[in-house]
Amino acid sequence: MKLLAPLDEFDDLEALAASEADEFFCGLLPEDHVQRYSNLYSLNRRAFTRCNFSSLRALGNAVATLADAGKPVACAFNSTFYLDEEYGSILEYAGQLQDLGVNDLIISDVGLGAYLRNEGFEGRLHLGVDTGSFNAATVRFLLSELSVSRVILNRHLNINEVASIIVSAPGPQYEVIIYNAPCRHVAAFCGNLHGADGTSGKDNWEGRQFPCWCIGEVDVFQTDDPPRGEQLRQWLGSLSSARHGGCGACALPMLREAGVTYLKIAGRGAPTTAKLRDIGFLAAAMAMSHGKGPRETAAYAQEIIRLRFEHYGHTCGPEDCYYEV
Amino acid sequence: MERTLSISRRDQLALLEGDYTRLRFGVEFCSRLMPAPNDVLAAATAAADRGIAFELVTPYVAEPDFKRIAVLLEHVVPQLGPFELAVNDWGIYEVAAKLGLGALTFGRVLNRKRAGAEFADAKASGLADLPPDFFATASRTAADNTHFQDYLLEKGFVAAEYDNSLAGFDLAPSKLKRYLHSPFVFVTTTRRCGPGSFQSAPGQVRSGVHPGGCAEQCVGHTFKLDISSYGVDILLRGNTQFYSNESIPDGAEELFERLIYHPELPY
Repeated sequence: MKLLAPLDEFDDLEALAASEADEFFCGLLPEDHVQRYSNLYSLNRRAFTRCNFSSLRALGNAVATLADAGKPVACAFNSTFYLDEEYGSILEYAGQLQDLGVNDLIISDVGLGAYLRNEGFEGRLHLGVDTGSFNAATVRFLLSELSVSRVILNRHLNINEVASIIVSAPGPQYEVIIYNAPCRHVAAFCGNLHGADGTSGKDNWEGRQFPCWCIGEVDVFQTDDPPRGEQLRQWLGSLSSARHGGCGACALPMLREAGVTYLKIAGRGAPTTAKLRDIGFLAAAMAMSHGKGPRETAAYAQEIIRLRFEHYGHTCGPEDCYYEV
Repeated sequence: MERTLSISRRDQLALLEGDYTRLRFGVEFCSRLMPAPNDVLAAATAAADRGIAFELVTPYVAEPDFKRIAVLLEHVVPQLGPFELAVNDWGIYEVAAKLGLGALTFGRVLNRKRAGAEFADAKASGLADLPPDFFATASRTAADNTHFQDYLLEKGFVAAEYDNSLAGFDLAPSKLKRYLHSPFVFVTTTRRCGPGSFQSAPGQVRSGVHPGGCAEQCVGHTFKLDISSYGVDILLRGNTQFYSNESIPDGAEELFERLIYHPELPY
């Protein structure tokens, strides 16, 4: 298994190059695009400028530094759809990125993938987590349509479903998000905006507050079944501590057995120190998982909980889990 | 504008009264709740008895439910008269294509948008000062890209479904027909389903997507959520959030060929 880590313009490149991450992924959000549309209409699924590169020049510098350490970078154009003119812009960016050494694009818009292939783009395409692929037939169809080299599976799959899809749609590399960003909703089909601070609408990463995070403020104030409403209130409340969670480390033996070969740490926009801590935690978890089979998951999970406490000073609960193990 | 009645369950067939020209039957958001073949055939018969057209709608489909829904299509298609199919899953699209079904509708789940409930009160949500081009983009969907329209036409789609979003519409002419949902606007959906956890023991939090599925205990229940940062009530049915927008926008007659009316929150 290989470990992918997030990358943005504000990172300490030398520190990331020296880390245990095998690959990186990033996004491009040019200043002229932000001027015209605001950051909310991003070219990828991270709308804050803090999470992106503002220019090809800055991105190229990062790619060169990481290439010296033998670590490739993929660039995400994984918004769920684009306007006509953006397809042409992305095709142009794709060519420029290849010149910089970026040969892998992450996409989630089927139309964009078809357009890039029709226009002769020969680089590698990764089918993004927000394509909305919940079954093997969808993956097989998109593989045949878009000549995809890697499939990033949706967050909202259980281990059995991951294994079934990989067996039934063989061929590509398979990747899962293993850490951070545990969207409560299916982001592929979610219309909520995630690029403003919730009160001023400004591009304020530090003050970010997404509607779907406001779990503690949700009030189930009308229901046709009060006992069920109270259960729902408790369920929503139990998730309120999970906004910074999102971890599948306990499931590593099962994911390996299922055929997953790439593990992605989400978190573009986080400081380099936080990224390095996450990389360190996952690299240690991967090392501990070697030789462990699915039957040893329970004991391994206890080791992971201890490891997490060592790295972060706190343990975790089921509300943090990507997978039920 | 043609009026379609959209329902999800056989026991809603009693709602099939009024000047509708089409019955749309099925689910969009939870593949566990897709009606059985007999229910689909009963709905098609009810439509035929009233002399109106029939459309089957299919959801985005989880891996464990895929075979059942593919078999359903294979089973009911030969028994139905002329009908249309609304698709919200590329795997189901492939099944439909293999069955030779044409005149497909690109469902509102796949026809993605970038406009949540924030637009209910743009000023309170802090969106009011954003550039005009942002609002133009917020009113559009995946099917408004002309390159994608060509792709969808090539695949056999003839129409795309739209939500009646409070972001409004700033739409250019389309090569696809457009159908408008009313009044319930789809905001977001999940497979980490709140009502799906009702079978858990008190105090137990279930993680991830439950391998054992659920007992469909959401059926019949509606919850209203007050999320303070929204200017509109969020309605929760099963795994999906909606808001209600009863107002049909000016010029809708020119933009949309059909109105898909939901008398109750859909599944």
